[in-house]
Amino acid sequence: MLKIDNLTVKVLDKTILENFNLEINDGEIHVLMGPNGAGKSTISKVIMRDLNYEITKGSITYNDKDLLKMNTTEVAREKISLISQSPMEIEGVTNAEMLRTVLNDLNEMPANVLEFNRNLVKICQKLNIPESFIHRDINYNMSGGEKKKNELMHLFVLQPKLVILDEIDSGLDIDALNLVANSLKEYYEENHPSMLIITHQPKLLEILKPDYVHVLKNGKIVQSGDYNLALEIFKNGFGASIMSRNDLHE
Amino acid sequence: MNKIVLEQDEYKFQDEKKEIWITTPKINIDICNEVYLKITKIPANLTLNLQLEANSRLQIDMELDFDNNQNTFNFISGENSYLEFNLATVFHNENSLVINNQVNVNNSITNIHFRGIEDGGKIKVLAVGKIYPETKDNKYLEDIRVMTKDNSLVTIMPDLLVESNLVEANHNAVISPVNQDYMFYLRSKGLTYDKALELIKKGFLNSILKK
Ligand SMILES: Nc1ncnc2c1ncn2[C@@H]1O[C@H](COP(=O)(O)OP(=O)(O)OP(=O)(O)O)[C@@H](O)[C@H]1O
Ligand SMILES: [Mg+2]
Repeated sequence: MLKIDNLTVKVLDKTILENFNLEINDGEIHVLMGPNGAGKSTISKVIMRDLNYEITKGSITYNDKDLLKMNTTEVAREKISLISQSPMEIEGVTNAEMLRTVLNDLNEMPANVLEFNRNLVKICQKLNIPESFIHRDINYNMSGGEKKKNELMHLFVLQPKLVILDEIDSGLDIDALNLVANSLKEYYEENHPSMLIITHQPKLLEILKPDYVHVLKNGKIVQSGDYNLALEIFKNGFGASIMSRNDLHE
Repeated sequence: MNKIVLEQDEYKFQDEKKEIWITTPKINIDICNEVYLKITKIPANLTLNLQLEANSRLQIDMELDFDNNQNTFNFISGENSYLEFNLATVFHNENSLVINNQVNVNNSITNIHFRGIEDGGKIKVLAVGKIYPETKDNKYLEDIRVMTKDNSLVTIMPDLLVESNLVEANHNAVISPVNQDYMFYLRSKGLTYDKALELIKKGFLNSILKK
């Protein structure tokens, strides 16, 4: 279980998240929505221990372990993976090289290298990307949509138990989006990971059917609900949904 | 690719693809037609003079460590010639590198790529490109990048002497520490600090080689 408790986060002395709370139980799919600049990507990077973000208050635990005492490598090794909004390009380092190094370090590299390759080929077929991607430099010179698929290739190899997807659906054409959503659904059904999905679009949620939807505004979750809350937001925008919440309070 | 040791003062290469070891401190090489040289060993005080004949194409890849190296590479372009010089190095102790290009012809292309990684050493890079007056349609690029822990250990002196208006000449020089965004990204995949750093350094050098 991921538990974020009263978290306050600053960047360059500007408060981005304030008293932020979120709990994700094993196997639950949560969606984080909210206007541009609300702090959605910030929370995803804070979980991965990006030290550009200063934590001034609160805690994050994962399976009762203090994530704030870990570094990025240690968080990843708790089987937490982030696909970020704009994946990094690393010229000169291939996907295979990176993945092989990680699996070797974790003692998860199949004894037979052929098996590692076969798995990658299978993943490429599933994602409808050429097998040549296996030996391409990480995200380098790839189109926006290709980068997202390339990141999913890493994810399917690393097999995380907590999956954080920051706008995985942006930059994907309609067929690619369907394919990505279905491949994630399949991964979910096989592995039952927890998921935190950040999105502005309905398609992914139609296929993944989230358990909870949260709205982030001014650094806090201002509203939580089920899938229907997402549907309402897709229809009416954030303004309307948050107003109705205020109405409830009065 | 077969390997040869160059121990004399003069050589001529024509339509060849060779791995070479240079053991003499001063050497003149003449290039005709299409030549690929992978240089895997040089003396610490090498001066290499390369003359590209008209219509020749030369690619040189070099990946080696510098340790108290004082090296000078002099290139003279030929009419319609193409030169790609890729030098990737990890440097220790005190080093100086001079890359000299003379373009006194038309329609030549010169691409100079240098990647250096500081490993407890200093380097001074002087890159001189002289494009003579009354030449035309030449393209010239110097792309010099050094990854370092301490910027004060690196000096890059670009010296573009462009006397012709009809040339496309570019010079990029970047001295920077390891990109922390790359480190974060690779560690977020589960790599240790050391393994991430190792891959980034390797990628930095590879980015100009194996093309
Ligand atoms: N490293 C940083 N340095 C400075 N400001 C930052 C940094 N990271 C985030 N911010 C600021 O924090 C705020 C929240 O940014 P964040 O990227 O989390 O928004 P978001 O909710 O993901 O928005 P979007 O929907 O546009 O992706 C923004 O105002 C942004 O400019
Ligand atoms: Mg964002």
